[in-house]
Amino acid sequence: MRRAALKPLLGGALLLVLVWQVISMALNMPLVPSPLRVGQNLYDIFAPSVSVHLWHSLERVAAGLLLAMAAGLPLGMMMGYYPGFDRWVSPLLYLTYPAPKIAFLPVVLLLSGVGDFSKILLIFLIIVFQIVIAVRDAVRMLPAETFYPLLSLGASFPTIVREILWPASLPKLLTAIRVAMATAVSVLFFTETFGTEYGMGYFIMDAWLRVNYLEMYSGIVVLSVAGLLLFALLDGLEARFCRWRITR
Amino acid sequence: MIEVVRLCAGYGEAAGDRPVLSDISFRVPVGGVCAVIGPSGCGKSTLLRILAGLFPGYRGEVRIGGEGVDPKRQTIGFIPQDGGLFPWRTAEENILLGRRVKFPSEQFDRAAFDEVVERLGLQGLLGRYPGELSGGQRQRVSLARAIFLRPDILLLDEPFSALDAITREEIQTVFLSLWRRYAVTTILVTHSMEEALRLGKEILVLTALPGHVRTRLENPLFATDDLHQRPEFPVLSAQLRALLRPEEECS
Repeated sequence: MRRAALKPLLGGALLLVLVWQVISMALNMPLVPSPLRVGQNLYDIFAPSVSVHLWHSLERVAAGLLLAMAAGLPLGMMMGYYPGFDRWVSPLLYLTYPAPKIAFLPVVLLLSGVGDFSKILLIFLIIVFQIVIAVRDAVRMLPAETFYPLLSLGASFPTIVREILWPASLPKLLTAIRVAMATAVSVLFFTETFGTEYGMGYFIMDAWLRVNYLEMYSGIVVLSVAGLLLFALLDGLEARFCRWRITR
Repeated sequence: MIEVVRLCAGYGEAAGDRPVLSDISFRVPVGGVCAVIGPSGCGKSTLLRILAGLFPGYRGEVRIGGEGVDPKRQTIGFIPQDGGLFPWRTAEENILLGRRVKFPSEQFDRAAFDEVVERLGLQGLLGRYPGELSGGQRQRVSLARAIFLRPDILLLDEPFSALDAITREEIQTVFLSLWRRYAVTTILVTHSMEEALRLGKEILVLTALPGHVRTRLENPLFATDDLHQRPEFPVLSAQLRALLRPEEECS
C-alpha cells in the first residue's frame, strides 16, 4: 500500500475504534466489549486459534479466485476477440449472471457435499461472471487499429493474447476481483457456518453460540483486517503491473 | 517492390455490395515513397490494410517483392493513425516489440537499436510510457519501432495528421532522414496536399468512393525542406486541388 494512503487509513481506523469505544461505554453491556479488551483477547488467541481459521478461509478464497481466473480469463478474452463466439455465449451468461449464487447453495451442497469443494465452488461462481464480463468488455473496447501492428507481422493468437489482450484487460480484471471480493467473503462466511470446524465463519458463529463476545468480536476484526489486506494486495498488484495507468 | 494490379475491394457479404476500391493499379519501386491522397472515405486506409495482409476480401493482384501478401513471410511495418503504440509498454519495449514478435529467436542488435534511437532523438525517453509522451514523441517512437523492424515495406496511415503544424514539419524531416538512411519502400496515406508534396516521391491521387486512380504524379518537390519557397509549389498544389475535386465538378 502506498505511504500516502496509510495516513487516512490509520485516521479512519482510529475514528472507528473511538466510535466503538463510545458505544461500548454508553451501553456498558457484554454484547459490546471495549476495543481494548477485544485487542487484548485477540493478542492471546490469534496465534493458537484464529490464525488457523483465517488460513482455511484464505485458502478457500484463493482457490475460488484462481479457479475463476483460470476459467474466466480465457472465456472473456475469446468472447471479446471473436464476436461470433460472443453472440453464442453471451445469452447464456446473461441468463445465469443475475441469479443470486447463494440460491444455488442447496444444489452445490447436494452435488459436491458439505466439504471444502462446495465452499470454493460458490466463491468461484460469484467471481467468475464478473471476470468474464470485465475481460470481455475490456477486449471488446479495444479499437481494431490496436491489433494492426501485430497482425501485419503475422502474429499468432497466443502472441496477441500476451502482447495485447492480457495487458489491456488486466486493470478491468483487478477491478472485477475487487468488486466481487466483498461478496465472496460474505458468502464464504455463510458457507463456513456448516459442514466445517475451520474458517472464520465457523469461528465467529461458534463464539456467538458460546456467548463468547470477546472471541466473536476478535473474529470480526480479523475478518475485516483480512479484507483490507486483500484489497491492499490488489492495489499493490495494480501498482506493479498497471504502472502505465498510474503514471499517466 | 510493391505491385498492385486491377485491385477491387468492398464491404458487405459479397465484396461488390459496397465497393470501396475499383480497378486500382500502381507500382512502387524498391526504395520508393508513394503518397496516396484522396477525398475522405475513398478507400485509402482499406488499400493499406490490403497491403498489410489485414483485408483478405479483395480481387486483383497485390505483390510485395514479387510474391502475394503474406504477413507471416514478409516483414511489413504498419503505423496506424494513432501510432499504434501499446500504452502498457515503455517506449523502449514498444520499439523492440516488432522485431521481437517477428524474429523471436534473434539476438538483440544493440548497435542498430542505439542508432535508431539516436536518429530519432529518443535517448531520454526510453523508460517512459506512451501516456507520458507528447504527440510528436509518440510518433517518433512509432517510427523507431517500424524502422528497427527493418521492414520489406513500410505502410503509414495518416500518421502525422493529429500533430500541430510545427511538430508535423519536424517529424516529416525525421521521416525523410530515416528514408535517406534506410531507403525502405514506403506507402504513405495522407489527406494533406502539403505532406504528399513533401514526402511522396510519387503521388497517387484517388477519386471519391469507390476509389480508383485518378492520376499518378512524379513529384519534383519530394524531400524539399523549403517547400513554400519553390516556384513549383503553388502550381502543383493547384493541380492537386483540382484533381481532388469531384470529377463531375472538373468537367
